[in-house]
Amino acid sequence: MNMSDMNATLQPIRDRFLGLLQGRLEDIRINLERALEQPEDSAEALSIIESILHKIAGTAGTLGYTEMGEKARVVEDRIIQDRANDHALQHKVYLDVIDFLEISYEVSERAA
Amino acid sequence: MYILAVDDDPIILELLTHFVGEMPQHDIVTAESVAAARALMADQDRPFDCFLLDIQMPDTDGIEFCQSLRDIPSYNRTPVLMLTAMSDKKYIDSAFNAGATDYITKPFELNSLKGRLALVEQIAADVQQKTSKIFAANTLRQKFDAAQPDVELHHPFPILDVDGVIENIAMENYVTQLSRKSLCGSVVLGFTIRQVADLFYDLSSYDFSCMITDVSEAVSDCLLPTQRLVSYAGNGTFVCVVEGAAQIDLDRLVDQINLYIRSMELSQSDGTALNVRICAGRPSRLVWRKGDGAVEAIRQTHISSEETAERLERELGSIWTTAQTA
Repeated sequence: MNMSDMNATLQPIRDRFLGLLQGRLEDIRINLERALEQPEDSAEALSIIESILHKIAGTAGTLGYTEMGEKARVVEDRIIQDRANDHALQHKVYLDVIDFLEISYEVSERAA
Repeated sequence: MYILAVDDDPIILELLTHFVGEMPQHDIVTAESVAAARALMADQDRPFDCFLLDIQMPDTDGIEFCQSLRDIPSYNRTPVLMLTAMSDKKYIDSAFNAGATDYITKPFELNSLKGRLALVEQIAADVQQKTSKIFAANTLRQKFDAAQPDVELHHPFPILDVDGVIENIAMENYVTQLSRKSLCGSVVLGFTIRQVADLFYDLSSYDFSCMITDVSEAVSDCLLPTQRLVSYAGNGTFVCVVEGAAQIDLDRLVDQINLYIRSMELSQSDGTALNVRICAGRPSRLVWRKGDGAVEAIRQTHISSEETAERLERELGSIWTTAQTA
């Protein structure tokens, strides 16, 4: 099977991924707001964001959304580092999550 | 192969179904949780030949599930490929320690999945052949014999139920997976049973495999508390990847292992005591060795360990010759 055949056969999975992506990005946004507004909940909110990013990082690259997948991996790693450093990197993490959301909304809009 | 994939991400399961659908020699069924996988396994008449497991899942994770599969006799050697985005060394160590055969990092491509499945197909075929032999056996004795590993002196065979001991192929996959950074603090050690050929010819296959299993336990236990993985490479040689062993007193370690073996009071099935001793080869540091380089380091350590065993026997022989001449 050549690359263009492969791309065509992956399209239904890509569509389903994009369908799920809307909800996943919304969950990330809600939890980011929660972390910013209620610092006492930030650890839990970041942990939820981390698990969503983990899922996106695992599939986006295979489906052709390389930049989004790589950014998801970088932000996921950053959240893990932040936790290991007693949340000393939290401000940077929030900015990274915002960057990720911007990249992903753009991909989502382009695909629509 | 008949494959069971377990992942809580439905997109991964769809991708796997799609990719495996491109390989006519394989069939796949999927489950979104370990509980669903267990229910599927209970319902199937046909055993699975291979498992693809995600690590991070709610409730039971993939590592725990892999460990529980190894406790089921019919799945104690079935290939388990961890399919995961966790590239941290502690996850890789835990996965192989739990009995994983290989590790595929997400995001994955069709060709990489194809390649990894091809690598474990032979193991799946061996397992299937053994299971058929056990089923075909008429008496309990024949079933027992069929369940024993096929023992040949120079070939590795699987050692089951010993903590920290993994299959030889899994050891190669393990070092291939680790990044240069992770390998930096790791060392490969090799230990060979002295006069192993004599033991092989004197013992039954069953007694030889029991002796190898006991020695693997001694080696693995003596390397604690460091993170270690041990595999049996054949010809009485064990290769071990040990983390954080910056300054090893190898002579002392060999003495400790030999004392441990002595304390086990190894014997044949008829009660005859066995005199088993090991020696060590030159350790190899894994600094800046990755992929094939790390596999080559394992090979070199294996060779060095066997050379040491041969040299020690030669030297022992020359001591006697000198004594007679004098």
